[in-house]
Amino acid sequence: MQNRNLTVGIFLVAGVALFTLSLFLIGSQHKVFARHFEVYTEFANLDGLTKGGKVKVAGFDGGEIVDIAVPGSPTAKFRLKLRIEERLHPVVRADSMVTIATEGVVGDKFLFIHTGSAQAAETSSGATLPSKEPLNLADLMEKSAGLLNDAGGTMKTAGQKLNETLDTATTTIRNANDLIVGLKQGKGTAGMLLHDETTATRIRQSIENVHQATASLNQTARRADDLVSDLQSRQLGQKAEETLSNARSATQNIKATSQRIRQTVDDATGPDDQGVDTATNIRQSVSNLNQATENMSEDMEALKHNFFFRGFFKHRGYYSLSHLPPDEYRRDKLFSDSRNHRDWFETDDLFTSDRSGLETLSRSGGARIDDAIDRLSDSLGPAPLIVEGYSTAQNSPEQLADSRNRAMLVRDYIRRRFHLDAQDVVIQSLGDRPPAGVGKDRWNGVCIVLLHSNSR
Amino acid sequence: MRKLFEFVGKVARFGLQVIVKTFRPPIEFRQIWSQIAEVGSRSLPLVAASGLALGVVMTLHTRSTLVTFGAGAMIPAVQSIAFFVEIGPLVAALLVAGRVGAGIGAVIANMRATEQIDAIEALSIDSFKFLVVPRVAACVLVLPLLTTFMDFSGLLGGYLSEYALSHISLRLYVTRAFTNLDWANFVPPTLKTVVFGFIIGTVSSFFGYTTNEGAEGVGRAATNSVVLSSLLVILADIILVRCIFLAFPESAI
Repeated sequence: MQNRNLTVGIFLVAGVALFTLSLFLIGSQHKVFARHFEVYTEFANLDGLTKGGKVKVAGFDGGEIVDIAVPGSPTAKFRLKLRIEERLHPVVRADSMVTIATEGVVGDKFLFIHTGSAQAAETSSGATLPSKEPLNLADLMEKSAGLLNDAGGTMKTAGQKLNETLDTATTTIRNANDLIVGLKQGKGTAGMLLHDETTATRIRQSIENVHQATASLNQTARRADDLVSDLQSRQLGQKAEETLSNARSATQNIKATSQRIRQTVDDATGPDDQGVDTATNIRQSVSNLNQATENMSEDMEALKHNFFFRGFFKHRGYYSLSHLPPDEYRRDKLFSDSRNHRDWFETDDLFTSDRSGLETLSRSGGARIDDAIDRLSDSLGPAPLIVEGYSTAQNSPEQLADSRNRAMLVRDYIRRRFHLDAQDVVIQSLGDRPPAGVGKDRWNGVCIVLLHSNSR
Repeated sequence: MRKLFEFVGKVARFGLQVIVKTFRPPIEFRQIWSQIAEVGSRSLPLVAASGLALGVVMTLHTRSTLVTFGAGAMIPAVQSIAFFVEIGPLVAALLVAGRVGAGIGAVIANMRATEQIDAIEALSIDSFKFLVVPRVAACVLVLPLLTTFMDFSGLLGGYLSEYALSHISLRLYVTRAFTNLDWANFVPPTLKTVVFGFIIGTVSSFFGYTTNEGAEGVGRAATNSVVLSSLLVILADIILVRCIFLAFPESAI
């Protein structure tokens, strides 16, 4: 009976002890009997976290999730209440980041609290720690798929290029193979050289010929040596040397003469006593000459208008119309003399106008001028022909432009047609009014004037 | 089918009588103590040896798979969770059902066959309270303890097996074993064996107490006690596990 009591006692004590031990072991793992502080964190995606899940602080198993508050709206987050050992409080700072981690490949999810910065204050009990959402596996797979696609494309491109390279290499090898086969079969020049006995014989013969030519050349060189020796023995070399010496002396004389000529030229072209070179002197002389000519021209122009000499110049015919204004031309008796021969031409008889209004001498107009000049051919003399241009345009500038243009067109035609000099045909643009006494008050066209012989 | 329902009704009535008479004085402490010794102390070697062997086998089976996945460090945790949550309570209950259930059924049936129960009744002693209640109470009280022994025996066997393969230290093994273990993984599964003990004691006592077939009925009572109590233990386990998950949802994976 006593043994049975002992056995039962041992059994019961041991059983209760083991049961209690289990409770303590489990409780110690969950730090049930340690001091704690509580903080909060929030996640939009819990990624499988459950109440009672582990909380590790910097990798140290230091707490658990004691509560999970479900969000009230889709935009809100799950609010997790964490219980952490008080001794880990110094490393949990206000900026400690909370993330969701996994233990190994098939392990459970747990919360990982990173140690905060030293500058941040210790987190207070009941505070909410910042969190970082777990990486979405779908996004990761999508990125991986994109990466694989890129890699696949690159591999495909590389494969195509490799195939092209292999094709090229195959073609090259095939060509080389054909070439070698051709060589073996004696095709082509190289193949013929390899296989054709006749060619080989010819080459051999050619080489022998080269040997013989070399021997002949050697013999010729020997004969040339003999010839030189013979020339030396006859003192032909000394005579040639004398001839060369004479030629050298003549060259030196030519050189000395050239130097003297250059010296003379330098003296002539060099600066004078005042330091002015010849080119400057010539340039200044030409300038003086031009100025003298201009003065002479002015003097001659003055003489033309001088009372004593004007008659002479009128008689000589050297009266320049370019310096005679139209009004003076109209009043001048010389040009208003009714005895002067005048051929009047209408504008339409001589000129045609293009789309832009530019007038040109027509073919029929040229023929009319030819007839007029032909009639004057017997009267042409030292006096020039005067081509008067007229225009009845609305304003004076247009009259001047049109009349001058018409006179110039006719003048140029007469000069070119009858090979006359510039001083033989002169022009005068008179607007729309001819000189007085010619029988016309207004004209639109051209008038060719040949001065009367008494007026010339 | 009628007999089946009559049988269920009889067993249920018998179990209800047990509950009622357990808390009705006088309580037979001496008999209870005696049955604790019979059910508990003498079952301990069987339970401990079975747990040790199961722990070794369990580690050998799970190790290769976990090492393949690089989770060798989780071997102690797997071992502890497996034993504390399910293997320990269930195997302990089945072992007790096999050893004690048969014994209870056979002893009480033999007393019925030899009219010892009638003699007890003649002495104005409540045979039910004197024979059945202490046995059921002993099973209810002892089975959680036997389960705890079974759990630790399994852990010890797992540690020995793991130590032989990887020379892991006992401290590290215990730390890893209890790291992932929660109270919900230990207390409810252990306490559910109270129900197992009640089933084993009640069913076994029922078959022994209600037999009237003489010596032949003794053997049948022993056999039926083991078979039905084992079956009911397993069926009850399903219901209890579900109840535990409802009460402790975080323990449900």
